[in-house]
Amino acid sequence: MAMAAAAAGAGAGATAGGGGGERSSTRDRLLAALEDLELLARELIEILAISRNQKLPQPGEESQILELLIQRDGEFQELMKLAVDQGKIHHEMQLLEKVVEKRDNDIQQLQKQLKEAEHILATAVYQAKEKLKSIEKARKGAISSEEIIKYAHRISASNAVCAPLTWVPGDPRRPYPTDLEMRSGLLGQMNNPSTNGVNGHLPGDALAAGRLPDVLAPQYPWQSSDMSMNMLPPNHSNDFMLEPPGHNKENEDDVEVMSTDSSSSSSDSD
Amino acid sequence: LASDDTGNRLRFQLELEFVQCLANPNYLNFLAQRGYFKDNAFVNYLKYLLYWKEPEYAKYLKYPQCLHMLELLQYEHFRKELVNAQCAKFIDEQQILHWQHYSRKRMRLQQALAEQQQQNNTSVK
Repeated sequence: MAMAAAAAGAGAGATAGGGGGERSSTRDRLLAALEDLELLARELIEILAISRNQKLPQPGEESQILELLIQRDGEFQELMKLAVDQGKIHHEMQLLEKVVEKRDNDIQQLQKQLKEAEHILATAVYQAKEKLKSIEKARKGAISSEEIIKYAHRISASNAVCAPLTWVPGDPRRPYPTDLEMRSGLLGQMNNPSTNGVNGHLPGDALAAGRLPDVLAPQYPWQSSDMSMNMLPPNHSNDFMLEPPGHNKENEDDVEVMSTDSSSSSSDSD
Repeated sequence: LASDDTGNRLRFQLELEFVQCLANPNYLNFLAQRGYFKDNAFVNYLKYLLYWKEPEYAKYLKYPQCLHMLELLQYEHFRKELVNAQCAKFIDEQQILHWQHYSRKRMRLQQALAEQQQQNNTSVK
């Protein structure tokens, strides 16, 4: 009886309390049943002890108590079985909970990995897009290497961008068209067909004057003898008087006119 | 139609010449002193000339530095400063110094190479 009580205590102790106030837990019921059994057993023993010495006042009492005892014992046995079943179920519940926990961890791991993968992919996609952009940009500005080399040769061999190796101060060559070159070009010829002593005027004046030179052949290579026929300057309108909106890069107010040099304007650099 | 074509060719050559003349700081000083930079039509014309920056036009330029001057000329402050002869002289000097940059670099490289060869010869001996 003692061992059964201990097992019941252990088994029933693990079950949670029943829902609500009416149903008590298996543990309580087991304990109640045990108490009843104890009580009944005591009464029976008292009555048996009394009946040894004297006659019973109520003759059927011991059999009543005995029956009650047997009944209670039956209940107790049933409760024990119930407790054992509940214990098994509880054990299974614990196992399942462990499994659930493991699955939860797995899901979290997967989540972390997914997030990492997403991050890596996003970076890769972004970099690929940047690469595509720069490829597009490079393709737009593509020039054949032959053309570039030709152009580089043209501007270097004529000493236009790189000084001749034997240059010393006093050498008339310059990195820009000199007076002589300017006057012998198309612009210079327009207003000075015969003389060489007057400075060139503006192209606007020359065009307005409507005078064309007799000889169009350029003398210096900077006047582009190899121009293609399809090359046209863009939107030519003579309305340069019309101000396009915001054409001034700075919003300075008009400063007073600086005193101009009254000496000759001949612009020879030496 | 033929005259239109000729006209366009002529205009192209004229503008090509003129835009390259802008590389000459003395010419710019000349223009500034005659007040051309104060003429709005002229300033608009300078802006119009920016089309020479496009590669299909720039390839005809023998003096590509003119593009830099053209860009600077878009600024009113620069145009005003060019009236000064000292300003033009300064630009001229800097241009010539820059022009000599590659020759100087080449000379330095050649010197360094010659020195290295000398060292190699002495070490071999």
